[in-house]
Amino acid sequence: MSRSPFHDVAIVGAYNTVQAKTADQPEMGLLLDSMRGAVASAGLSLGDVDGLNVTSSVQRYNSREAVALLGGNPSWTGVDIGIPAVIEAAFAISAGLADVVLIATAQASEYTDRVKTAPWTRPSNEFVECWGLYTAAEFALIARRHMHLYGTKPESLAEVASAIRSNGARNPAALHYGREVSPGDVLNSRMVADPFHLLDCAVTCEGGAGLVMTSIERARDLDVEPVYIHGGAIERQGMAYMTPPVWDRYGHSGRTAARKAFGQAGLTPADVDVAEFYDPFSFEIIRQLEAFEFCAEGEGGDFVMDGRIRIDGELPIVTNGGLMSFSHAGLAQLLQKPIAAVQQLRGELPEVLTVPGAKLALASNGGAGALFCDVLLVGTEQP
Amino acid sequence: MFIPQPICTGCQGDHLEWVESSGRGRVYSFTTVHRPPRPEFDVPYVVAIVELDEGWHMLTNLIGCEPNSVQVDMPVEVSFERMSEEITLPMFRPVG
Ligand SMILES: [Zn+2]
Repeated sequence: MSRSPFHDVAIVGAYNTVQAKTADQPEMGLLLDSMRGAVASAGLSLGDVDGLNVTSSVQRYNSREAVALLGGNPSWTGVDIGIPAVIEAAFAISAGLADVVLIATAQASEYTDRVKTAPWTRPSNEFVECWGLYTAAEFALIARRHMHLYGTKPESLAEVASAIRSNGARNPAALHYGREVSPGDVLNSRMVADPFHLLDCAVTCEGGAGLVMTSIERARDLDVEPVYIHGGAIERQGMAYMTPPVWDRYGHSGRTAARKAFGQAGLTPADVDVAEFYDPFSFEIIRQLEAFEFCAEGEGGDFVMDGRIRIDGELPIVTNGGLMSFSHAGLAQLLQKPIAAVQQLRGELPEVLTVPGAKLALASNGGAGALFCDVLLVGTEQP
Repeated sequence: MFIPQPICTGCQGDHLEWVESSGRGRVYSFTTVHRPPRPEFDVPYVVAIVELDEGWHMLTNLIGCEPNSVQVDMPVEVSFERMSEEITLPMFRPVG
């Protein structure tokens, strides 16, 4: 097998700010906290950073401008968000365009009009807004079709939401720390967009996050346990929240990305110890299990039962509590999936959420309702 | 092809023309919304993907039926609903 495209790269820092319903500082403060916290977690300083990717939701502060904060030192700037930001940074390091890349992102004060749903859930697009559509309804249309085709039950969706929220209940850094949720609680919560109850849906909150990557050589000099990228791929399917989310066309969103990522790694879903799936809505877990080929089409609803996806199960998922319990802040939540995977493998999550002996973790972004789905595989050994 | 695009998304050619649909189709998927994105919408209401008889899909609202009576594959037809002086929306109703 040829050498991994990610052979020369290591993730050395991962950090989340405090996540809160309403942050106690403005977006810029959260962003600076994200930047400082991420480099500190790598044993580096901001002066070491020569590649930068900065995003903020409300101020629209970007990498080109943020370079000024670092005295103009970073020569390379990234343009993407979430998992694609990690992939492009890896290749910038491999190509010698940067040696230490900091990815940082924050959101505060975006959701102020509480009569409406959060702004990022309701794009004002033609062909969509007039029908009262927003993300919960878009993803519900995907879930409903799956339930029709395969008999997937609300109990399976509720088990997913309960498993994820139980992890968050045990994570002191989670927004919903201490809030244990049973499958019955999910089914008894008020209906939002059928088949999604309130507790089938992500929370909304504010916060920031940062990730630091560097070359293998530089990583060896640092006093931290590096995490390595084994595979990473992007899948885009067009105009989200405009095109009808038709199951036949978009239900397998992420399969191409997953096959590419596992192909790069020379691994299969059976090798994954922990899956930090993107969890905007409970059904998305069932869908990703099928799309990424952890199980056969139509079997995701059965797969999640009997404790299999719980923290002590065969395939623990969303171990930090995810979008449903940990945080769902602006663009930071996309980066928080790779961060969760890194923190899990480095043993930085609470002991009760640490999966013993975990060597390979999957992280994903996006979903069928959003017409994109990205996959990242990270591990404890150099590929 | 729907939604409209500047070129054919199959072959990237310019051979596009407007074709009138029969306005008849079936419910492909649906959701009953109880929490609206903004307060202007009265709940509950039904959002659906309708598969038209010509094979294309569109997002719409289902009207003229109880939300809990809606089923996948239910036959429906278009109903142009006048919302204001300027705005008329193509919603769908059950057939028969
Ligand atoms: Zn064509």
